[in-house]
Amino acid sequence: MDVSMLQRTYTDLLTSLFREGILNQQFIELQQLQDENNPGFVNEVVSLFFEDAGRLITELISNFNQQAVDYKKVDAYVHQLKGSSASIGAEKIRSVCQTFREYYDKNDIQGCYNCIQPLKQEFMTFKSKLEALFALEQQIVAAGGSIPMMRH
Amino acid sequence: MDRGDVDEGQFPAGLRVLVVDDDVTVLRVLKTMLLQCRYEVTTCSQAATALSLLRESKDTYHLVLSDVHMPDMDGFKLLELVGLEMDLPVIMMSADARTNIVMKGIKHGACDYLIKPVRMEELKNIWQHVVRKKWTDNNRDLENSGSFEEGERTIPNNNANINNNNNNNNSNKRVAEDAEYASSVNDGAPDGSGGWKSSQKKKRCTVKEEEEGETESADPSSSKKPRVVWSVELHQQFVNAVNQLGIEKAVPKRILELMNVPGLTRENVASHLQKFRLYLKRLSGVTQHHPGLSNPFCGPVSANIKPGPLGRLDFETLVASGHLPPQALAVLEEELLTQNGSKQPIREIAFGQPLVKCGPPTSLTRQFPQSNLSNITMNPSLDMPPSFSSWPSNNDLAQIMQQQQQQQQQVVGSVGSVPQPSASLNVQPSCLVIPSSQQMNNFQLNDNTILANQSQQSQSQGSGFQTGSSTLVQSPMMLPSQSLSSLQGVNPASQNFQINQGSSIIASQPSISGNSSYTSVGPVIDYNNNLISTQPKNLRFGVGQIVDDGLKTMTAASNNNSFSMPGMMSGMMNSGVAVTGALVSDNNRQVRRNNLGFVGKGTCLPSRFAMDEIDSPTTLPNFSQIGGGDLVNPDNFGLDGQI
Repeated sequence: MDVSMLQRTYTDLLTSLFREGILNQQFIELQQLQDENNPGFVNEVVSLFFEDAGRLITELISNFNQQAVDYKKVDAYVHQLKGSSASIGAEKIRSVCQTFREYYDKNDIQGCYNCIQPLKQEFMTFKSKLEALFALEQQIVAAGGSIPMMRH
Repeated sequence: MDRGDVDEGQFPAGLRVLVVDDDVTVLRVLKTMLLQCRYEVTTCSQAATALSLLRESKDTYHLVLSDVHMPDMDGFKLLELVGLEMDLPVIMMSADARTNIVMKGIKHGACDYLIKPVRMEELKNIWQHVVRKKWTDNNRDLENSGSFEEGERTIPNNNANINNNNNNNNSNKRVAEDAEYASSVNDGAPDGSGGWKSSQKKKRCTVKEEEEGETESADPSSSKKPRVVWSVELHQQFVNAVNQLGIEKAVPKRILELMNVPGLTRENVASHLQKFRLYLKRLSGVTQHHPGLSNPFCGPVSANIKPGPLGRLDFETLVASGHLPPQALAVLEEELLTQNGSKQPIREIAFGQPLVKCGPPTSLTRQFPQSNLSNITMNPSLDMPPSFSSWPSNNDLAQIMQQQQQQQQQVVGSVGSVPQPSASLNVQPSCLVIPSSQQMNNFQLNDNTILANQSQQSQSQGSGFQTGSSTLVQSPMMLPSQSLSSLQGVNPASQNFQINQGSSIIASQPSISGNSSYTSVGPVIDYNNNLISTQPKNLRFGVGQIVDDGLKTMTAASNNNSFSMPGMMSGMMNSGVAVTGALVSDNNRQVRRNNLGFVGKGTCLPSRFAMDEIDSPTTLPNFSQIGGGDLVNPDNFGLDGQI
């Protein structure tokens, strides 16, 4: 693929992520923080998130699978997940966390439960899409091109 | 980055921020954003770490950004501690946008509450909190030590605030002065000294005017009273007097009489009392509800319970140390029992203290009359605008409000009824007000520490942003001799008093504990009787190499006041000037950690209370420590390892 095609693919992917609500404005803020002094910042932070959130979700799910679910603990995890997803612009994840907490506040256990699977799903989607995005970035750079920036 | 490198014209760059959040992703993002704002950033993922960082070097940071939900400590607790111990502005952050939680943050003293995701624009503005706080504090102190009488005279006309800026012409003038300086800061200063430095200068100038009694002060009608240093002994006497009188009857005049300290004015006592009351109020948390009133701020009932098993202990300690009248404890205990047995909604509390319900108005409740003495409005838990009509128990609310107002007026009345001419005792400027029983030892340490401070101060003048506390120190290096004479006047027999000698000073652990004061660990008192924080300069995380500069400065200045640095270091508790080579021993270090020094203003109360275990039981509450394995400091505010 030549560079311009890569770049187009990249832009399309990124645009679709915003359109689908997987990413939000915060992600753009992160991109703007990336510069020559701070190359790869977005990649770094998102990778951190992958790790962190992955761990949280695993904990969360294992907690949920127990006989006696400690909802308070689960809520704490979800709260943290909400904070970090919000901070990097992972909109859908954040949104599911929000929903979960609303159910929790109303002591709606079923509602809470219904959020767990979507949460995991959104995380997986987010991860794979962002990984694809980063891979494209690498290819573009390797091909000597520059990464198109989103302007919102 | 060396402080000297901070470009004054780049204000607010150079702001030193400490960020606390257990989420590494968030920390990373925030750090990058803050760096983008040209602030200096230190991050930590644990509240305990943050606290120890802050305690080690109080002047290192200007601002703390903290998450609300952290596993090792509740963010609100950290907030309170930082506010009380270091008096730094704290901004809370959370993904939790619920109004009640936000309100809780504000009540606990947060300067601001940011909802995650935190955006760059928000971070760009955080410097305002630092500047605002410094100016506000400065003004408040000036008024406190200024003409209190004027403020008093207007009391009958305004039952909201006694020591009210607005009522006092003097303070208005002073505020205006500061405002002028303020604008110069904002403009990046036409004189080229914009930025953190100039705001420091301004404060120094203002304080200086007052101290030196120069007529060039824009406010000739205010009397220039020297600042009072509330040493441990002095404060102890104060507290004893208050207890003797009973907190309700503790009016400045009576307290002053009981204290019987030459040179202390009723105004000094009054302002100190105001702060003491504030402190007590915070101690009790947001607990003053009428029993029937469900707490509108509570989220789900379970979420906010903090039943500290220590709470009882804390109060007992308070009583034992004489700071709580026994009847207050009885009331608390009773309420506790009731609390546990009842199904009433649990209140939120700041520390791991028992929830104190408001029963029928008790003596304890009455201990905390609200805004009459401060500019803070009423009982924080009741601090709701009447428009919140959706709350339950409006009737109860009304009752409480009324009750509060009555209390206000009571106190107002009582204060108003004791107009006092200012004390006619002759207190020299730059003279430490020392209770007669004061031992020399304590002050030596402070003197030396001050010297260190002085030099640090002079050094850091050129280097940008400093917290308000350190800026109050303005004395030139020559002062030591001045106060030396005055101090020696007090206790010429002291053997340890050595300023102009090369020998090391102190640190007598033994003498410290013997004196049952914590000045050894103590707050630094400068020559202008300003209680200032200890040196900041023990830096970590590469936020600056002030340590070295300080060392240089001190060495340079030591021709005048040749105290031995290393010796002093070892002697210096709570010393931020614990510069590299002269690291204090572990023992001292421990002690130092325990000292919840003092940030800032002459009569700033909170640190006073933060005494440590070294002190005699007569010192202020030593809330016992808790688990929390990695807590640095088994500390006074009942640090809780649990959330």
